[in-house]
Amino acid sequence: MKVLAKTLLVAGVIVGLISAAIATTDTATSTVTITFSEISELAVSGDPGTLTIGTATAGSLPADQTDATTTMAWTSSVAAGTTRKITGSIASLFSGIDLYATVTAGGGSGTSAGEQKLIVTDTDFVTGIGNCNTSGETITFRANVTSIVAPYTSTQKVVTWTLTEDS
Amino acid sequence: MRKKKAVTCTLLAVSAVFVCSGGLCWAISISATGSWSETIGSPPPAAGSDLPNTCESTTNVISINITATSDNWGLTVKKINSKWHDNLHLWVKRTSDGSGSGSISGGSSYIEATDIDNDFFNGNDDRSGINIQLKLTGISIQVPPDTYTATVYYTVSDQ
Repeated sequence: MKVLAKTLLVAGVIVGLISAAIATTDTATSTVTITFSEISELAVSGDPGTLTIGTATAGSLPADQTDATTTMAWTSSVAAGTTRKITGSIASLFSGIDLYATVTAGGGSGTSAGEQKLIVTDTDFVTGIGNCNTSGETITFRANVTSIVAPYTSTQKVVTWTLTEDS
Repeated sequence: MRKKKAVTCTLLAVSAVFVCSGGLCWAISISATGSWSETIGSPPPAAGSDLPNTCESTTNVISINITATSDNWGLTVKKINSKWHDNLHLWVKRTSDGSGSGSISGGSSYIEATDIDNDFFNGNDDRSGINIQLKLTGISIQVPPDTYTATVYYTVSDQ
């Protein structure tokens, strides 16, 4: 009886070893690599309407003129810990007129800097832009007459908007 | 003494035969070829637009071979992240039956690969050239630019 018990024990151990040696499961692997590129896309809906400086009250400069018919859209993704901003500049100044602009920034798409004067060097209009996409952000232009100059017509200036790294 | 030896040998032989032919366990192996690399955001979306939510691999980005002496097997899938983003979800589906002496079923709809084994498909005997397609969901501009990597584990087991 003792002999049989010992034999069964040995047999059990060996059976276990045999079971372990014969694979009942196996694993293979594959790798998935997804790269998210940085994205920096900015667009405007078009040119604003013509700002016509009209008549003035005697003794005063002509009234300011505004246009809010254009919009801006942007899509931005940046590395963690960094942000972007939208700057604006004008190719050259109007004679006797300062041009201002405001760009809205709704719903986590950055912080509007409010109305800023457009000058020939870059000025911040929206800051703190992280990973977001937005469209239909209103651009409001305001022409402010600073001095009386000889009348002129159809003087176009190029305003450049740039989505760039926040410093 | 001789009698004891004879009993031992007999028991071992019976045990071995029982184990190897009685259906307790079988030699089974799996191999997978291929990997999936994808760049999101190139080309970029139009200004104001988000990235497409979903990205799919080709239908045969991974090919699996299963060798099973006999018997039924089941295959599970899981994903271990090296670097991943919580918004992203990886899905797998089987797009071909492959070929071989056995049969195969299940897995033809996407299932998510998570960090635990999930049943994928099953079959019996040998099947080779089983094509697998991968899908990534949760893609959005909210996912910071970076490279995200995970290893997908395909585990085949006797059933």
